[in-house]
Amino acid sequence: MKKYFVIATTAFLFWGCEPKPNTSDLVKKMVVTTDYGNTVDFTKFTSYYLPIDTISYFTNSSSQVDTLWCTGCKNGGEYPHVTTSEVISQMNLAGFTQIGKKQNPDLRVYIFVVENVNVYQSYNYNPYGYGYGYGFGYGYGYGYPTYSETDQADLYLEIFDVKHLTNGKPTLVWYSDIGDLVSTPDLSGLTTKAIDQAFQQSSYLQKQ
Amino acid sequence: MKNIFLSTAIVCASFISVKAQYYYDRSKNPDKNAGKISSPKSGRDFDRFYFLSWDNNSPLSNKDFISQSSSLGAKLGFRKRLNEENKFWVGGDFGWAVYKQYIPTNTYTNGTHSVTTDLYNYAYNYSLSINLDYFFLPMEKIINPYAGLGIGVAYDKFAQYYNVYGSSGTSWGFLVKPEAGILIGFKENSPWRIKAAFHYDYSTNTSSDFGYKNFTSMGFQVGLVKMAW
Repeated sequence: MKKYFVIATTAFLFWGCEPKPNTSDLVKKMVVTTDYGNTVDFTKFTSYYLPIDTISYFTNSSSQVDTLWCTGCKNGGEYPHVTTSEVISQMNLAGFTQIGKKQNPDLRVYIFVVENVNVYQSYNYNPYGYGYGYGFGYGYGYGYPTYSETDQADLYLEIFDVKHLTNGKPTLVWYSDIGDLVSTPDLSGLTTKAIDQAFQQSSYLQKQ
Repeated sequence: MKNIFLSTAIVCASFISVKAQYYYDRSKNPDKNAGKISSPKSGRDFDRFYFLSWDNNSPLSNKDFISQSSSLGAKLGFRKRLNEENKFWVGGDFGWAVYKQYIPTNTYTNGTHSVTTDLYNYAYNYSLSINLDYFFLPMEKIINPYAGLGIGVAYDKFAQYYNVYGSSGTSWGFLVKPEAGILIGFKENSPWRIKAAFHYDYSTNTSSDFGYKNFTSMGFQVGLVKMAW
């Protein structure tokens, strides 16, 4: 009987054994997603507007607020500059001309970061197993609360058609989703490569 | 006194003659079951064994997802002698294997939507089976080849990891597992033995998300066997 118990226990240990790739290997490159409106003819656009060194930042974290993130501001850093300058470089390479906001541009480029912070709380107690979110002290028997936190952020590049409005509003004609920004070992370097990749896989995004 | 001596002599003689009669009959009528029932063993009469094996597997289905062989696997099981024949042994196996493959960076386009990423594809395979093995030689032999068949259930989890993102799907299925191998003892009727075997696993596990229809693999296992009684 004891031997069968050993077999069952060993089998149970194997059952829970699901090795995953190393995190350091996983985050060596960012994931780059792009999409566009298939009826849009990008060759008809000439100019674009993009705020320099400034991006928007949205978060669901209670300790931070949605804000403008700009190089040279109090909360600055190089990231807004790195991001906007690379997008400007790629838009210019695609044949579009950067102009001011009041010069009636055809396109408006909007760059923002969304950070999702999730905190999970669960409560385990024996002998009746697992409970979710009941808080410390619930139930009877032995129990312990567990917490886990995930923090993940994506960079979004969006291009709007401000020349042809739909119901008075600009139309989204292209976007790119780049991530993850939180776990990356080289935020500026890998973001630059990811922006280049976004334009490279969007060969239709050309003035010529 | 003479009578007592005579009576004792007659009783003794009758016992001797009875015994002689018994042995006489056995020699004239050889046992018809000779060779069918296992011969007396010199050591323990082992009637069960347990094993733990390292298992190396190669996927045979959906090689677009994973084509690489896996050296991350194990088999755990036991067998019990079915009867005095010492040929048929019945028991159960638990199998665990992890298949994985790295797919370098590529751009995947579907309509207007494009994604560029590198991928880590994983398949976690668990199996539980009832097995019947036929051993070609008596179990006390140092080398004993066998053939077996396992029938049971298989559970697969297919997963794809990219950066901090991922997706996964699971599938249960029916499993059939023919196997052929050999037990090698360290001496005659050894309590510890080496097990080496090839097995072919066919399961009905299917996942449309990951392109699997009947997860199939071939494997080679090497392990340690503990005989018991």
